Amino acid sequence: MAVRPDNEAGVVAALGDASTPVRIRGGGTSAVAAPEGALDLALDGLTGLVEHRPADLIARARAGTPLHEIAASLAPHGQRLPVAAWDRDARGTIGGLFAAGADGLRARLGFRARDILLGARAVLGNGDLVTVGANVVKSVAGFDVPKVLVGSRGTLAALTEVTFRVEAVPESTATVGFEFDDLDPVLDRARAAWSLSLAPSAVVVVAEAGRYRAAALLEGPRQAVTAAVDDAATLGLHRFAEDGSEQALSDERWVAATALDASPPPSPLTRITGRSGDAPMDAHRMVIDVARGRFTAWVDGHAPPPPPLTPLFERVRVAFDPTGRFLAGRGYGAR
Amino acid sequence: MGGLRDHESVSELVRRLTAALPPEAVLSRPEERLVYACDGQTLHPGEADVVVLPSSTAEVVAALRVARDLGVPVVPRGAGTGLSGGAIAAHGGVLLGTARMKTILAVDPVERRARLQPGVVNIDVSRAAAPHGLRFAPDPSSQVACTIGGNVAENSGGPHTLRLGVTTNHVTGLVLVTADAEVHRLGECAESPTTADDGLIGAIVGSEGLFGVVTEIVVRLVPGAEEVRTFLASYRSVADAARAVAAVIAAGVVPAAVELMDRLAVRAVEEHARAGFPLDAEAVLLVELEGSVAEVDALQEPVLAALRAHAAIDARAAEDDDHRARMWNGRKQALGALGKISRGYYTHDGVVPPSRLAEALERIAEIGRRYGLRIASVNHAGDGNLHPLILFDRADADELRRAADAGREILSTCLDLGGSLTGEHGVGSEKRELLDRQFDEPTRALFARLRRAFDPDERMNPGKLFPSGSRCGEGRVPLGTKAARGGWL
Repeated sequence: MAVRPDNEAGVVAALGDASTPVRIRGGGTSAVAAPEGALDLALDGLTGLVEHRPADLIARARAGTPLHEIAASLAPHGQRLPVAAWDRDARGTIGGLFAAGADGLRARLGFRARDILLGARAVLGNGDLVTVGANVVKSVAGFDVPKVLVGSRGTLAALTEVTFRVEAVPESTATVGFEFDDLDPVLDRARAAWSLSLAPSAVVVVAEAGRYRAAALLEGPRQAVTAAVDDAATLGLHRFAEDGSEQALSDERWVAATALDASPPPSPLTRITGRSGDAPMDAHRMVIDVARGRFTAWVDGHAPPPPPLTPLFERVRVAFDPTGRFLAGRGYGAR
Repeated sequence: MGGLRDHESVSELVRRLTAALPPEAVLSRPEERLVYACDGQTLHPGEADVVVLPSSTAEVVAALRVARDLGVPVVPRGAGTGLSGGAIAAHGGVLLGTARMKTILAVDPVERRARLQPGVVNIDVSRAAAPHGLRFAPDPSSQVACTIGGNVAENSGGPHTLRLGVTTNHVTGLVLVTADAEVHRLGECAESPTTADDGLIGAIVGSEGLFGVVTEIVVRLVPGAEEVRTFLASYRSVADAARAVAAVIAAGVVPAAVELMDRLAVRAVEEHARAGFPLDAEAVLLVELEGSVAEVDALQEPVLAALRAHAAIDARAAEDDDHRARMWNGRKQALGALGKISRGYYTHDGVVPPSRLAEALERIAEIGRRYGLRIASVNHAGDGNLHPLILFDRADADELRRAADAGREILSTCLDLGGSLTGEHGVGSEKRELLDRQFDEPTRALFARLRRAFDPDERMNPGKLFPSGSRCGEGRVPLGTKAARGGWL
């Protein structure tokens, strides 16, 4: 059975029978199919920005609000989301961004999905509606449940509303880079870019077909970006030339890099992730997020089975979902 | 879950701990235990039956095994600088101090990480990272004394966290020993981290010692700024200063720090530390920008314009590095300075949305007038984190009672304005009776189940965070008569 409530009370009602297994999804950009007999609960009917307080650097939205709608609502106030998720087919939702922990490569002040989710309303496996975190950028009251929900992929709770940090759109943007056929010098330049005095919003190395490209996203006041581009040139990183003209690595290129980071590879390849120091030399495609210290790669063969979840995490999971109804045939964190 | 108290059980506990740990790690004499009866918040003292000071994860495990086998409460403690009564043994039992676990295990300048034992003092992390041009961003005012383990337990902040985040934004790995003496290696402390580790780490940071003892921590380091510029602005009213803060943020600038002090706090600081704050103003703002030189240059005029837009008496950049250093020194010693002009003070830590700051500060002033109390105000204004300091005479029982009542009313005001009970000090024993004002019953029930996921017997730090009566046998700790003198925030 499939339900798509358009308000919070509808989600509570849909989850009223605690014995039913449930598969929760947002916009469906990375959802797995609901197994036989499970309730297919779509949250993308819960839409709308509830409040946006620019001077408080926060916004609150219903969980199924499309990412492009969030962006359109923040833009007139000169603000944006501090992360840039891959909005596949324009179906991505704000709740899905947090549930998947899919926050892309850009993080101007280092804030990722887990850093910007400040508060949430959510329905637990036992049907309880809870309100966790707070609607301010700083709070340590109670346990920090929002951080447990980020990346939980619908296996702990059904998000109905999220409060998140927002930031000012920078006045100016530029991308600088360096390309070579050997990883080490590219990684060195990327790390040099990471140390620019204007802290880059993203520093990545993209590997494909034996070519390696370092790219750093510079954002800030115009004169600061101009100065940083000059600094980068002295380190051997230049604005990418495309079609013979000097210009920033286009938004599409950043989106493509983010997409590789988030999407499943074509068969028979396998997607693996790890610390950047363990990056494989033989990947078909790879993105190293230098600022985060992580890589994502498409490699030959089958992925090793994920390490088993610990008994400690299993007890935490049960605190949210005592009967395991949200697992609906899959494990926590399954891609 | 009361403490042991009865003589034979305490003797047995001490005997077993002494057998399991090096002799110098077990403190059982009353005069040895006395200094652990309070932390930075001394209204709710509590004495442990025994204090242990392990030097390694293995010794923490050994101590927790003994406590587990005897069913004894365990209270983890860092440097004891906390301001919410979180590190005192409200129900007796074992107080486990991490002060001797103070080794910086590794600094990795390439990946920008530090691997630390919990007893490492906050500022020593930045000192160890400084040769690589790096630092640890969270900077509580107690940073010369407080420890990383305590910062993790409380999710500590500090003045410079608006731009770069608080402790939880910088922790990438933990080793946690739970009440059953099991060791859990998470995130960048694990051989093979799972996708769930980030969530667990997020839950553990700020859990106020209720989930176990953290014995190892990996933190992110951030580069030092090329340019730091500090601005000082003064106002005829606290409300004008508060409106200027909102104007700075509305200009699209996220300063590294925005501090607001009222006249009472400024006068105390000037008498104590001669920091160079103006004495003719009702409120001063200390605003700091950091970044590249070009970035700070570009933001200077918008910030000064925003600071001047609300009837500023004056707004200008710090004269030089010495002036800047004196102002920050003065700000970080504000509590100590206020301690010199009053026989006691009670520090709160509520949060309001910055857009409601002017209203909040006016209502706090009104509460002070109504209770006949002087309230000084020292605020991390950029993120709406208020530190009203209620001054009182600790020898005056009536004034003490009024201070407690006024404090509760201030926190209720913060919640009414859409904020939070605590921004960085934690709930502890101090604010636990107010937890149900912020979180409804189903949410508190989730908190209770989460606690039992880590600690089924609720032996870790009992009497904290949860309201009394949320479990049978937890009596209310009587309000003491001592009051804090000196300290930080």
